[in-house]
Amino acid sequence: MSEPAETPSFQDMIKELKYLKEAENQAQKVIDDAERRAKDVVSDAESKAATLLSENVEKRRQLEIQIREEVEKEFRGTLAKLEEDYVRERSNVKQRSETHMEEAVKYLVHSLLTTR
Amino acid sequence: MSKNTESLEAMRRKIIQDADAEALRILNQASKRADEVMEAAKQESSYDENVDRSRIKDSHQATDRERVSEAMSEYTSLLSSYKAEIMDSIYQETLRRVKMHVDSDEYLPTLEGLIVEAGIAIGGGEIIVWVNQDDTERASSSLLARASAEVTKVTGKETRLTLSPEHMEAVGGARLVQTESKATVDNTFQGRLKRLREQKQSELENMVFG
Repeated sequence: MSEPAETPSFQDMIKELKYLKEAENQAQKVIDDAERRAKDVVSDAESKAATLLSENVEKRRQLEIQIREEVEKEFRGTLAKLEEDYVRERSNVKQRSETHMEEAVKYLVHSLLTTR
Repeated sequence: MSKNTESLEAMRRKIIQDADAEALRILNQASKRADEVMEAAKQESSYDENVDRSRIKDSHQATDRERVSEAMSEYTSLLSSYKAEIMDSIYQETLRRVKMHVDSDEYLPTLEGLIVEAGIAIGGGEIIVWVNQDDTERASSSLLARASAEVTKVTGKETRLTLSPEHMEAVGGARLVQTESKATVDNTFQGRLKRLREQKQSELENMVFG
């Protein structure tokens, strides 16, 4: 014949409940810690992503400024050359016309005074 | 250890194990989300610098090509204006020298030649001759008679040149109007120069500017 089960005393039951409550608190702490760490992981990633994007925007801005300066320099060079060409051509025109003006005037006068 | 104690310990272990599993799930999920955020950022910020450089450069160069083209047009136009000024000064000088000829004794045969040439061009007939005030005296009846005979001879049409009682403004030369047809030939020096400029413009410009 087996021994009848020992009925726990009220005090024992209170102890057991406290024991389980402690376990539950510990479990909750583990989960809370995990949630906090999870939040930190995501927040850290978002912060890194924002930094990456902002660095990229700045990099592109700098690239744009650099290229604009390069192109502007090239453009100013082209304009300066055009102006130089114009001044040289105008000077050539002046020089050639001074040489040939008399010839043209004589030709015109002759043509105007000569009839059939 | 009593049975009761064993059962209690198992329950505690289960609670802690479940919590650990849940914590692990939460951390895994966070890690996955963090990876996604970083991946999206990398994709958004990834670009080929050479492609970007080329795109930006092309866009600026297109604007500059327009500016260069405008500058070239402006210089071409300035050069054309400068050449036109030179040609105008040549025409002015030409008329000044023609005026010197008009004031000389050699002008009379020239005037007669101009009248005959215009008379032939108009085809002869009854013709009114317009000249400037100074030339009204030079274009004498004998000069007009000689010119009429010459025009008749060349055109084969009986011609009579008559001096207009009114005069016109001109350096010299004559304007002839056929009475019947009202056909007009402007053989003043200004009229001749105008025609010369139109007909010989490129030849003259080549002569002057090379």
